[in-house]
Amino acid sequence: MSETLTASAAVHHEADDHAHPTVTGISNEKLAMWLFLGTECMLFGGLISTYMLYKNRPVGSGEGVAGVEGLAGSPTRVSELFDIPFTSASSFVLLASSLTMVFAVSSAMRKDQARMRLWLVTTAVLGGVFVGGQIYEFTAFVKEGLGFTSNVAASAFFTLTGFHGVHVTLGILMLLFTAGLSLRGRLPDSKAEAVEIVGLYWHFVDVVWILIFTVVYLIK
Amino acid sequence: MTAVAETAAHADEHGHDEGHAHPSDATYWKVGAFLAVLTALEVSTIWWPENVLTSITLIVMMIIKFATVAAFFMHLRFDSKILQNLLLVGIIMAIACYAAMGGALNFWDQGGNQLINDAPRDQPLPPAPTDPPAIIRESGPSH
Repeated sequence: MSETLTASAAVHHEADDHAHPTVTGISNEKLAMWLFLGTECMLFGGLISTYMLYKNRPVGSGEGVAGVEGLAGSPTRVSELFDIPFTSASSFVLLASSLTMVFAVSSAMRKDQARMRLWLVTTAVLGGVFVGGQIYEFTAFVKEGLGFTSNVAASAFFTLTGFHGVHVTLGILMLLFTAGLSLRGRLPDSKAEAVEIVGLYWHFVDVVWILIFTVVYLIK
Repeated sequence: MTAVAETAAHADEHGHDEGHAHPSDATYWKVGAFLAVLTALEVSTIWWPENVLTSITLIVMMIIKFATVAAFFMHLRFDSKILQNLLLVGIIMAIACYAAMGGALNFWDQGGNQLINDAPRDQPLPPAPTDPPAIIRESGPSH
């Protein structure tokens, strides 16, 4: 009896290590991540549109904001405080992190777990540098007198870039968690697709920054 | 082989997508270099004249970067068409929804509806009507 149970448990364990077959040929986890990313387009689309709508408020130094309830605020435009060389360096760092992420996925597919962990941690470090840069930028803005509630443009800007920063931070946690699982031997080669799914999220965060960098920082 | 093991073997064959080939590391390096050059070009536009042509160039470069990352780094070029469609539907719905929102708020013609978004400035609001509309004058009060 106990031998039968042990054999049954072994078979179930074997099955757990493999993906279930699906009609589409795509694993449920991967399909779910893509669906989630599709919905994220709507979220960031709304935030980017709101910033575009408000980016030129106030229209000049003090002009156009006085006398309207709820729109009064700092006459400083967000774009006046942009440090493009600094933000460009941050963008390069995030782009480089996408490259290291594909190497992590590539290593996972080759079943080279040690190298995969190295690339995952490298990606997390680059993401950390990017988030650090964003915190520095926010601090500089606040020191210049432009906080979250200073005016509608500032609110839209901080909400958009803040949401993106939160996504990067969550991505870093996912990367470190995945590397930790691998280190403890809980990410068998048969589950290498988990790294690819984390990678999809990370690349999506990168493509969103490609949009934000152009629309918010570069287009006047 | 037991039924469960057969299922597992089948899943192993099909768990990864059909025709799911990953590019080589050399290809990733080339794509990364291409994206870096494109980003450098984007940054160089801060010294370009501020006009519509510069904005259009930036948008084109942005779309190329977006598509390149999605195609190569997210493997959409090598994955199932279903995944491409999922992302496309999300993007198209977002663009359609927010383009319509921009229209509703006069973003495309006046940079935003003044009544909602901004204080009136060079285009003052029309004065409130003092006389009742003609149709009310002709028919008289209803009571």
